[in-house]
Amino acid sequence: MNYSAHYDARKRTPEHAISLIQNDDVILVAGRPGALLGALDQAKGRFDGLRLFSVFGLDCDAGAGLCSPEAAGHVLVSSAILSKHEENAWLSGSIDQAPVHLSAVDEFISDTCRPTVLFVHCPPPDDEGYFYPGIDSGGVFTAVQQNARIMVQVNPNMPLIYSDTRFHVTKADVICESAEPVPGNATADEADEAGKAIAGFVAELIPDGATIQLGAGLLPELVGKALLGHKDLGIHTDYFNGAMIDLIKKGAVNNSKKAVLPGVSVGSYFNVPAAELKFLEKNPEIVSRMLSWACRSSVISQNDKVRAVNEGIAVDFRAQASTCNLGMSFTGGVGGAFDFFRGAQRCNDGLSFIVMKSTAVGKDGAKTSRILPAMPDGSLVSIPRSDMMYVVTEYGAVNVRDLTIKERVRSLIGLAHPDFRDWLSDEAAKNGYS
Amino acid sequence: MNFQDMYNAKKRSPEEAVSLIKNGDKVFTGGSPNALLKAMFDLKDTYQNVRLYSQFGMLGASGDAMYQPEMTGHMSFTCTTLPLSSVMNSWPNANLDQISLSFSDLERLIEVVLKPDVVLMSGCPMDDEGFISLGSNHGCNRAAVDVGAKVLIQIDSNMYNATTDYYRVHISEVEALCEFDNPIPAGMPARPLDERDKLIATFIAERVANGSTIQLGAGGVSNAMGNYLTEHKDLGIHAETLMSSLYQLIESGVVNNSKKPLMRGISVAGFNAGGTELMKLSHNNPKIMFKKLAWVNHPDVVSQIPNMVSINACLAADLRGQVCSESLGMGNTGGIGGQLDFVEGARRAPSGQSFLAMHSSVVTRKGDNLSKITMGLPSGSVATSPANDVMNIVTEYGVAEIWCKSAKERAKSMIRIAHPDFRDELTFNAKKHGLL
Repeated sequence: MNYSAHYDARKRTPEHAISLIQNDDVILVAGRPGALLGALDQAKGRFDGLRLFSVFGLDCDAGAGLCSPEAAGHVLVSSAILSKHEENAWLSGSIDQAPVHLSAVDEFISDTCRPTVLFVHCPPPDDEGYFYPGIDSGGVFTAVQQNARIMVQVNPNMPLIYSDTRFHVTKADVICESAEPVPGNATADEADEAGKAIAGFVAELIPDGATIQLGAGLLPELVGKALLGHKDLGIHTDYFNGAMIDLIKKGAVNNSKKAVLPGVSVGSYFNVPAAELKFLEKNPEIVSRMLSWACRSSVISQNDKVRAVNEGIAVDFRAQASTCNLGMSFTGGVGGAFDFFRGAQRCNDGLSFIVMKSTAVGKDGAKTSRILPAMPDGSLVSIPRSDMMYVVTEYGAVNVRDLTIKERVRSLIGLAHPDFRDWLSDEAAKNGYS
Repeated sequence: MNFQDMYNAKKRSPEEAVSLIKNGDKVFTGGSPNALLKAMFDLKDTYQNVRLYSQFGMLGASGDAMYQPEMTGHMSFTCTTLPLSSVMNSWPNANLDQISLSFSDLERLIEVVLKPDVVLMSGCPMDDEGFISLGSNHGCNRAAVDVGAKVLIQIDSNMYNATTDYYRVHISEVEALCEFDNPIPAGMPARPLDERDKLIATFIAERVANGSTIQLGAGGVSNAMGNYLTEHKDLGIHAETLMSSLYQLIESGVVNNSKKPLMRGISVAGFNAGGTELMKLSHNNPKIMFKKLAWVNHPDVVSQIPNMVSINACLAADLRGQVCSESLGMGNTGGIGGQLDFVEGARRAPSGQSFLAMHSSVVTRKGDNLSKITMGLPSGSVATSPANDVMNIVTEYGVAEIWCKSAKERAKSMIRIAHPDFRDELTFNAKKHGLL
């Protein structure tokens, strides 16, 4: 039997696929397969505590249903990075989170999550009958290794991205076809003045020949767009954004100086505009690698001049940064930020950056400073003070790594919005930091 | 000129030696060059803006001198680790500042950033080849020598040497030396073991397999650990610091380093904080080797050791699994040291484990019992070990195995090891914030 006979023999409707799921299954979801998740959402009332885990969250319409109050108790949804649906449903009691670095997420999947079923969103198989995991390979390799039953949603709109993770159609238990739009496709909004200033400061500190990582969010993407005039850049990242495609197309990225996979851009999670998905298709210069390898600091640090850029939400006087949770909230996740900070710190001539606007606007419209004397009780420190390097706002960029704590406080106050500097200076004096 | 002639030619009084320090100089110091430090503090009025740096904060007479208001303008002092005790209320102080880094990064700071002009150190009597051992309590001074700092050294005949490929200077590298014997240190007073420490040590020891390589940090649990590993076999040592409780394990042969792939057969450490007994044991001992911290503490090195077990003390932890081992709230004590180096290294090592240990509660001076496990770390606290790196948190009520556990599972196991008086409140708060 050739592979297409296998393919046809395993083709099922999404509803049929879901009918094969038992209540005690654990499903690893990669690539937000809308048809499979939608069918599961329809059938959710049948379950009583079915567990779903995804690395990057269920940020799609079906995800909204699976995190809704109606789903609470029926399905338990967990991820390493919470999407807006998990965040909104956090208090429902049916949402959980895996507090692990992306470098350790495969270990979490194999040792703790132990998926029995894999939902994966793939392009049609290649000529030899291999499926590749599409824009999100998070955990797929590990789930396949664990002999999870593989349910593939095949989508002709999904690009085939070369990967260390592939599996043959003969390993797929169920194949569902669905030509839905590929999820994500976020593109950076127009930059405001603050965003432009931040991107400018960071771009000046990124030399030709650097290897870049840009975390999720608008500001890292703006940094990417500010590098179009650079030369010989390399990409080794967890999160692969649209700006990176611009850099490759413009020739700013050629990966010629990288020690690890020279000539090839490395990512794990691709979030690019819909029009650019085709650029990823069988592109020999772009590869999707498993997170436990791509985010391992000892792999990252083999490249020279690593520049890791991640968005923060607050930095305190000690130069501890939070990238996701102020107070006892549960939103987002640390992701690969600290992994890449470590890699950048340990490589030859590396730098890492926490980028953020100096102020945030609360729900009540009030402006608050992101530079704080202290973060509120319970805030999550994503980057500890021992490992912080550059903090960047629209008022400048300071490398705090080798500064004393009094120098750190002074320079951080200089990065704060002018409206808050007097208050911050008073707090510094009051606590013996000036 | 032979080495002894060189030695004689460089001999000075402590006052003469420190007169080589110029205004504006950056002076690194560590170990116990007490005569040189005293001479320097006595001459403080002759100095302007001399910047003193050290790995650890100053205690005793040096500390008393350094933090006086009269010192302002003459000398300032920056260290990476303040004493954790309230004995020395040094912070805040106009003359004192701190650089917060992991010890794996300390020599880089000295070599690349500080580039000291002068280093004040203590050493053993010179050997026949002209080398002066800096002993096992060396204060990381060697890095300053490597970047050309003027070496002012106090030769102390009471000092014990140590086997090392790094912590020594040659007489040809010395600018000036003085001979002065510090009183023989009494060794760390053996604090009576607390019942809670014994319980914690029991819990950890149960989880240490034969053939493991251990790192012990400072604190009561570390002191207790030695008594609970005596029945183990084939342990190895790869540690930033040699702590006193390791003495009995080395002496009794429980530690033989036979299973450790890095430096097999040899106990490896950065420096000695185990007091006189361990210094004596290290003297001329080829089985105990002191190596550069940038290597010993590097997580990429630690992670090469299968069954690496890191055991450190902490002050507080929250239900996210964040651990504070230094300053709780806005105050400033302690420092990062090598905790995160080993917490990360052990986590990445094959079958590695890290344990962060504390009593579940503390009684304040006012007599209130406070939980050290809280919903969230108090505002301003240092998260020494971030939530995503922590594997096990231990109190006298058990071990919270939080590595690779979900946020909710973490919260549950943290509440289980909290003091019973606080479990209801923690449970209530955890529910309120969606953690249960």
